[in-house]
Amino acid sequence: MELIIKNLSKTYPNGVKALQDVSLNIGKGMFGLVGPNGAGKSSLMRTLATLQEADSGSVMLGDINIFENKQALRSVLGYLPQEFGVYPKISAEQMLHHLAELKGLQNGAERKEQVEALLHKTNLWETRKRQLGTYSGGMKQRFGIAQALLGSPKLVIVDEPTAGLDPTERNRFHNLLCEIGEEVIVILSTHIIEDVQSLCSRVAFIQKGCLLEVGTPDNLVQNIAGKVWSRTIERNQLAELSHLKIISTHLKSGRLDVLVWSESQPEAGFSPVIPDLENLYFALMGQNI
Amino acid sequence: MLLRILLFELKYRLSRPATWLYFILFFLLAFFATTSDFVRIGGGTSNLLKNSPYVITLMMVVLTSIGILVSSAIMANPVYRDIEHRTEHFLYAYPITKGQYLFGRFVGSWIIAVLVFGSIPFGVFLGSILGPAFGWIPAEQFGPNKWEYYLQPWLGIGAINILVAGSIFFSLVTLSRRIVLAYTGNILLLVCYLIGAQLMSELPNKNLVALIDPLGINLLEISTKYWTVAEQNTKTIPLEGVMLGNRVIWLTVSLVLLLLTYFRFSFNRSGTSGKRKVKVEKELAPVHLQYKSVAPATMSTLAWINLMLKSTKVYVLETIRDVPFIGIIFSGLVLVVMDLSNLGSLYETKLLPKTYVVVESLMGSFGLFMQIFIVFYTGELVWKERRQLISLIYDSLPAPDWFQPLAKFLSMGALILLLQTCLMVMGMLTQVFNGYFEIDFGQYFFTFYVLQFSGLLMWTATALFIQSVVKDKFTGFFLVAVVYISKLAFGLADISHPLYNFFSYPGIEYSEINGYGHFINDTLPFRAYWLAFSALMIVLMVLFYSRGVETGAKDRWKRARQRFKGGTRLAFFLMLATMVGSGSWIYYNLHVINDFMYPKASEKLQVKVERQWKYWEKKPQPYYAAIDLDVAIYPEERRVTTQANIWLKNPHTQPIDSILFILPDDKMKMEIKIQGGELVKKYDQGLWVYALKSPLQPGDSIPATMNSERKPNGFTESGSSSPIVYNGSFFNNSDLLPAIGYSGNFEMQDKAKRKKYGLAPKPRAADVDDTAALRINGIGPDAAFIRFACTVSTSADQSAIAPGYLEKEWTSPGRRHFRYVMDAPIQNFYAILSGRYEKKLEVANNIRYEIWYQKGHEYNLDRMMKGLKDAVQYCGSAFSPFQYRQMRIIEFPRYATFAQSFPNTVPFSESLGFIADISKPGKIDYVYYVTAHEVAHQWWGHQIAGASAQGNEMLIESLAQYSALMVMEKKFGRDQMQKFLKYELDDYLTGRKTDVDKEQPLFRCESQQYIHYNKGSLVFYALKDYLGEKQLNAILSEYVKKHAFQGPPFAGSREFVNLLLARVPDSSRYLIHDLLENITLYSLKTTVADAVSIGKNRYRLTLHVEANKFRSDSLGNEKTMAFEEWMDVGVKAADKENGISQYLYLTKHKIKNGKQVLQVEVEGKPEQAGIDPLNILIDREPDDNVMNVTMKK
Repeated sequence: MELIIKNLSKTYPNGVKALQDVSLNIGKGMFGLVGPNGAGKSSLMRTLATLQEADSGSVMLGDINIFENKQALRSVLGYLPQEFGVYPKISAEQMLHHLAELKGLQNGAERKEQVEALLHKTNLWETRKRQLGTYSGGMKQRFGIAQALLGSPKLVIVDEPTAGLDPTERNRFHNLLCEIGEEVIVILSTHIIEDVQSLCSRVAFIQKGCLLEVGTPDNLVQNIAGKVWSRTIERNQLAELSHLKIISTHLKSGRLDVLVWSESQPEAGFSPVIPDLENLYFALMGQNI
Repeated sequence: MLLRILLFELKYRLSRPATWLYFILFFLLAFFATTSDFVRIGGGTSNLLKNSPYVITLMMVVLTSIGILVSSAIMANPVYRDIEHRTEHFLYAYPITKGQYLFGRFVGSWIIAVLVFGSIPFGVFLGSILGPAFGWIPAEQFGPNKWEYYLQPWLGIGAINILVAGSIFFSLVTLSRRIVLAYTGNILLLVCYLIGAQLMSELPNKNLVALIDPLGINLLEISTKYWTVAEQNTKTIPLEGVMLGNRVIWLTVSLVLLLLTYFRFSFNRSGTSGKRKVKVEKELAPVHLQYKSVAPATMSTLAWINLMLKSTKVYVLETIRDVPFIGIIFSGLVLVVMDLSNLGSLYETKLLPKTYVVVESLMGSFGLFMQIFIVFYTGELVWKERRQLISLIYDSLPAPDWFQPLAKFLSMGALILLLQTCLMVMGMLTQVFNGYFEIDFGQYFFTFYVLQFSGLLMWTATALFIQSVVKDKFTGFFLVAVVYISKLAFGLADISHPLYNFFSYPGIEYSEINGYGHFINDTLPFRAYWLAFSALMIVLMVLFYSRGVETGAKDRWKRARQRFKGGTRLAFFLMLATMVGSGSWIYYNLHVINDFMYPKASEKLQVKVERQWKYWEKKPQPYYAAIDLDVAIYPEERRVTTQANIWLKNPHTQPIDSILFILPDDKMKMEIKIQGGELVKKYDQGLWVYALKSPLQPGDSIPATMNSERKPNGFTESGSSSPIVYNGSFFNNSDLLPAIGYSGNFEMQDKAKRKKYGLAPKPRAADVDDTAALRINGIGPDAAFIRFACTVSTSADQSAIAPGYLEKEWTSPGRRHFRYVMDAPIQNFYAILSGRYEKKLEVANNIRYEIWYQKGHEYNLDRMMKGLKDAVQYCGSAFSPFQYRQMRIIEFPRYATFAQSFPNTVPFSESLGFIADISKPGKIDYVYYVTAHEVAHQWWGHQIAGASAQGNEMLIESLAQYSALMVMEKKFGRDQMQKFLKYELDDYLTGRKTDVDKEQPLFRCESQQYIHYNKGSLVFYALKDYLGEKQLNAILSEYVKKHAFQGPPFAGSREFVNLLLARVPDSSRYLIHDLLENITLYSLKTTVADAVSIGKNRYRLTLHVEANKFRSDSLGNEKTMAFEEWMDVGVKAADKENGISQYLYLTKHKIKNGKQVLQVEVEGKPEQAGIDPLNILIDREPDDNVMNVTMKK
């Protein structure tokens, strides 16, 4: 099953162009959406989750047209919003049961089995009876992923799921996602490049509603091999390099490490760098390519 | 630091638009109340100056009470703001003390609130300058502007009200950290006020009510209760008595609350990191429970409905556990209990807890809380998921689009049903506890689960729809409030129409005689219309319900179009069709069959009729001289046909050549034939003119016939109208036969409106000496005394009653016929009744006494019977012989709540006396009293026909009151009279405050109830006390005998006063001048009452009394008068016989104005002593006439 997005556009009433003619084909596996805040990641994901209308374009999941048959999509959708709340007075287990029912899990035994499995999987088993209001940020986030996996999702959309998680939890979360990603389409948005690199089989860079690059992380990095150059300078020398396409600057022991985009060595003193996704990200966002 | 926090608060608030919005809102209200007649705040009469201190105070009190939501918004906010915006976390770490923080914020907010409400005096002030300057309001309606008129209400009353209410809100929210408690606080204050208003109806409670009133409305009313117009125009409320007490009590309360807040508040309690223990999470070895995807079932609609019902249950359970919900409901129930314990109280006498009495009390007292609940919780429910940030998860679930909206609608419905059930149970318990077991379950269920419930659903649906389409909850609240206000505004602006004025349908009044009668049918089309509208609201709610993120109206519209299919679309068109169908039916009935008219249009018509027809007033018109009716009543069709054989007579000195008839209803069937007369034209509004071929000469009579039919003519906005109901019809001559000639009674009364339409000012009544007016019968201008006979028929299971003696009774298939004949002349004022009655009959002294009543209403029949007999007996021997051989009371349904005296017939409302609970001793037996009063009208009204001029009501009503008082005194004794007269005094003194025009002396009274009933009682009781019953009755008897059955000219009040003046001793003439011809008030007071023992069981009392007497003009400007008069001095015994203490001494002393010392010796131990202990004289403070005696060595 494949998710085919064609010419998706959306302009908000205040004039902000959230999506501009976005077309994408997403297959099974983890798909990363990368872009700065306000790039349109959440807009795209909410549109895919039927929570927002598009002005034009179409989206098909297999043979489901998600704009015309929202219900059909929703029954195979797992969605974890960027920010979400919980009913503070009820337990994780109760809440999962309740949501599972609404997802159409009518068989009590099956439902129970799945809820329990999810509670184990997300390491919430011990605390399943506790009121959700007392959960820490990480626990809440794990609860969020548990609810997204209820039923039999074919499309899982998780919007910046690891924000605010500590490294251990982030790790656990990634493992979980990878496990699911083997079977279904998982779309993950983040601005942590490292996550994408390690998790996603494909990745899309998006800014101001426009799709800039799509591909596997390796391909994308290969495409820019030999085009990123580095030099370490004093901090006050930066002005002298202003004629170059600077991708990024990093502080390194009090001096500046400058990365520059160039087809060939731009100036003496620059040495080639083996590029990574982060270089591409900065280069794209800085509109150097 | 405190100052800096305070200044920051001020600056912050002044930069908030809301602060200015509030200011402008109240400014505009006050300004327009001052400069226009459109906005009215708290009432007031036309003689009050627009900028009088009383008006400003009233406005201040009313607006701070209505504006309590604003105070709560301002005063609850300062600390909550930091909680809400989570600024508390760093703010509380700053080097400030909690005292500085709390009080800085509190005082700052208070100052802002005071400034906001300062817009009220400012608005009035500006209005008083601009209003007359621009000619919006005549300058004579404004008095001088004095600073204290503005500052005292603002700072002395408004600022303190805000402080009190503010400290409650501030404390509640600061300590609970929940803003909703501020709303609960609002409701608590409202309950305090409502309880007070409820208690106030009984005299002894008034001071208590004034003390416990937090808002000041009851307080203001009580502390200015007897203020005259003149006082209201010039006096500010003095800080003394209950006013002072109230302020001290509530300032203490707020101080205590603030201190409590100070001590309980802590900077450390912020956030959720309280005392709750957080368990340390254990890291677990991974359990191998494999996650498997489970394919969702294909959900049928039925399965979704099941799930929806489950969700509904969850919503309901969560709501009833919510603290504010419990708060609202609890407050409402407190009020309900208060009301239930005081059912239909009149003169401290309650009604029996009949089911409809209880049901109406429940609906009345809880109604407001139900509305608050609906407004508040529709908002809570619609925004629940979004408020808790869980909506995105929910919205992406595969539930159908109708799932959430319908679950919310259903849970509101279920909650309302739950509350309704709760009310019903309380009602039934009340009945049982009162020992009343005839509980009408059907009526409970029908009223609470059908009638009222359907109305509440309309509001619920509309509020839900509004909340579903707005951007945030508060906009929703605001718009729902707009719907409520629109109802009010349509009414005020006189542009109300049942097709667009939200949820208007004719009311339903249950009667034990007529059940729900025709009212159910009347209300159906309207309810169908509005229920369809409400269902449409729900459909629209489903269409527009927010799912996901809102990205503008366009998307919403797009989504609605996607949802518009299947069942939703079907429901939409079905409901639309129902609305259009019922709406067309309503339109057809209102506008095609009937002539729907806005009040403005009917006003214009009224003016037009007056302009066109006024000249007929001067045209001599014939009298009805003899009437023989054949009336056929068809109760089940609500139809009545009449064939009348009439003699018309010319009582005047000029011939009559044309006659104007005014029909009871211009849509009725009517046929008038006059011998030698022919119809000239039927004008609009049922004005028909006939010309006589040969003029009717003075003293001559001509025969005529009038055949008419009345039945419901479709229905109007208030239902179908016909004088006939299914059981218990009660109608009179004006429903069957046309009125003859033009009558000023139909003209517009309101002074301002007359001016607006350019009509000449119209006095309320003709001058007492107007000889033309003396020739007009006060009861109606088209007859004097008539000969009367009537055949009346009705359905076989009913009896029909008309004035006169039953001569013959027979039956025909399905019908019963009665022939009544009167053998003596009667006023042209007769009632006909038909119903399924029981009859109680007694005969005494050749007079038949009958009571026709509804089976089951036997409770007070003996009292009524006794009242009939005693009153006929007393009046017959005191004034003149009774002119009839029978006297009847006939019960009629409670659609009207009076008893009315027709010749030998008194229709008596079901709700007035038949179900009063007089079983407790010591209460005023108003059933007996009302009966006696109505019987007395057989003399005052049916022997004496008053002229249509000033003083008419004194002759008719005051003298009937006097007669009833004497009948009562004979039965219950003097103490009961004093109790009763205290109410009369209170009503009189309160009435003169609210007279829209001007107070008249008794003998010139012009339809002023507080004068002809209340003052009338006091005056004639005082006359009796001074002259003696015998002497007064002798004069009255002479008067009756001279003027009985006279007219024209009819009895006038000048003649009556002259007779009194001629007959009373010279020394008593001042009484007639003071009590009847002028407005006189006393201020009598005992300041010292000391007693010393002078031998065995003998005591000498020294009394210091202060006496003043005032003469008042019509606006209450008073002039002190010098006097020397006889007044009672009384001493009451300490020992009581049967719980009632007797007077050891009660003798009239000569009292002069000013302070004086009196000495009295008595036998027996004295307890109370003083001047005018029986409250014979009109005194604004009747309670300080006597005081407890101090024993001295």
